Amino acid sequence: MDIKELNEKIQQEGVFVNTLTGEMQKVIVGQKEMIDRLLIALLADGHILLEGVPGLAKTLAIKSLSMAIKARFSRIQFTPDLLPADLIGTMIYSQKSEEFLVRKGPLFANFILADEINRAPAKVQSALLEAMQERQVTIGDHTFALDEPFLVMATENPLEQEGTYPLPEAQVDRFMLKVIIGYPGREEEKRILRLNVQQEFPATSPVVEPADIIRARKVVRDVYLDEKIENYITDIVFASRFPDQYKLPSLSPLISYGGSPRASINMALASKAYAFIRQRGYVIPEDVRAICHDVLRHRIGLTYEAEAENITTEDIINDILNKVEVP
Amino acid sequence: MGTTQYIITGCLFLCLFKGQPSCAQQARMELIPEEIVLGQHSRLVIELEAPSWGVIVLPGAGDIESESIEVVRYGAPDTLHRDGQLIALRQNHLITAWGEGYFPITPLIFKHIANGDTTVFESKAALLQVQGVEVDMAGQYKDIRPIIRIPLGLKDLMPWLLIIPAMVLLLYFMIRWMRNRKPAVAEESIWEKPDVPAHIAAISSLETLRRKKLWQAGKTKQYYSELTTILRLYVYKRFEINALEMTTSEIMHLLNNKLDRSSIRGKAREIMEVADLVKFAKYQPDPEANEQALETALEFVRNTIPAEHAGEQTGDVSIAESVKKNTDAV
Repeated sequence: MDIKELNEKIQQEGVFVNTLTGEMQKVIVGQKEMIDRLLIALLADGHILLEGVPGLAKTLAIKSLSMAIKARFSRIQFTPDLLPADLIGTMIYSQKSEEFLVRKGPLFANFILADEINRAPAKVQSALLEAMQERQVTIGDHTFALDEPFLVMATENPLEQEGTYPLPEAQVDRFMLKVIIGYPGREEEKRILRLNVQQEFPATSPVVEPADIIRARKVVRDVYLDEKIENYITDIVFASRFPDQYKLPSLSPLISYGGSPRASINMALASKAYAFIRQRGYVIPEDVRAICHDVLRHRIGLTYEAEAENITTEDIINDILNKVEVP
Repeated sequence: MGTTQYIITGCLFLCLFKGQPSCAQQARMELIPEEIVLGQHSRLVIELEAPSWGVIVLPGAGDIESESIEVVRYGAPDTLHRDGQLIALRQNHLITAWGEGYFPITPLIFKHIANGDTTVFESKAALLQVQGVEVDMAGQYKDIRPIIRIPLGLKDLMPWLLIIPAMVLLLYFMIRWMRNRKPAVAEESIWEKPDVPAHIAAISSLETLRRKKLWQAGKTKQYYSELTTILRLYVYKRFEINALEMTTSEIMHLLNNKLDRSSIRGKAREIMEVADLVKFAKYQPDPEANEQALETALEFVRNTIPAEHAGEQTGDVSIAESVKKNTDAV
């Protein structure tokens, strides 16, 4: 497809982006990056892992998103005694019909908020992550496809790590993005305060149909990704695996493992979604750099040496971005 | 009729019913010599006469071999004589035995199959005598014999006589090709020279790019890629901004702090943004725009020549000379 045609199509199909963002910003003050990342995951058909202290509007964000999209929303509070059946559903015996009937769990919704995912044991995490990957759930003998759009937003609390079950690397790799949410600024905090003490808290109205999202996802896939950008993405991911080859020998002892091929795929998809949000039919290096931290931060393993020196994956990604040549 | 007459009559009847050839089958086995020294071979000769029609089944090597006797070479049958009635065959096998003593070869069984009837007949047994070798324990030990050298012939040398000149020729052509090959990145050499000021290197590289006529050859993307690389290298050397690892917006953001005149910044932005469209969005500018992009880049460089080279800036002749010298070096 011609870029000009594509740009026109994006402007036509992407009208809802501003409306949706505006609707969410009625109730969420600031957190522009989080809203953007939610939209990226939604448009690129991925899932998102949010890390932030309590009270940063994580739940409100996804609730507002589902309300603005006229979609079904489920919130699951992960606790140590949660069972997989509490998520996916179970078979119950009906005395009336004398047979087992399927009772679907809260996973059968468009938007799932898996609150404090690291508080549930591995078997529950696996049940959720399998559903995320396969987009289907099996209860007894029946397999059910999950509704589209299907977006899982899981949260992790960086505080109170006692008694938690940290997500294994293989599981965490299934999240397209991991977003770190910070505190709002002083002015934003004042606006939040005012908004919450007034008589009525603003409500989000449905402005987008799920069908619009599904249509937009197809356009996102069509966004042009030049070979130069593909090379740039590959270079970034390879630099995380083999820093020596990218003139970053100082990073070698700090990285235990680099980004997986899923990192490259998700970086390309997220870049396309970011370009779509910016109403562009092609990806530029700025798009890749904008989402690079969110795609890579949970996919790079640190060595004990790095942890001892308080070096974070953020530092490593910054070093890589400062060294890999931009096309 | 007497008793003798009955026997003769009976034999005649038997000969009539059984047929004449059945009486002619015979096999003979002979060892030449019958006595060998350990390690030597003996020839086992088998001779056979049978009717010339039908199939004759000869004993195999396994029938001759026993625990001590081994067939070294199994000989093919050779026809000695053949007519309408009889066929005479001979086989020469080489046998040996591993041990001293007497080793019997059991009678060998032959079969003649004709018209669905099988006639079996056999040879006599044979005996192979094997004597041991006397070892002179009192004598001196001798060295192992050296490997026999076979003289080299033309046939042995021929492959090498062909391969070596071919290799030499190949090497010669490879060296010639490598010498004639143009250097991959001409710009690198000038940017690496520490004594060449950034603006001279940039103008030289831009002039070299102009001479390459890339966009005229349809290589617009490569043209803009090289153009932006030159500009980035210039920004890196002139303003100490790591422009090679930065995006257009990041470079422009940092240039805002380094350049006061917005018109100059605007020129850089214009080139970089058009180049981004060409590189990442399949944009094809018209020929005038391609030519203009290089002129704009030159203008940007000339407008940002540092103050210490201001003399050169006013005296265009000296810059031109320096550029020419460095361009020729490229």
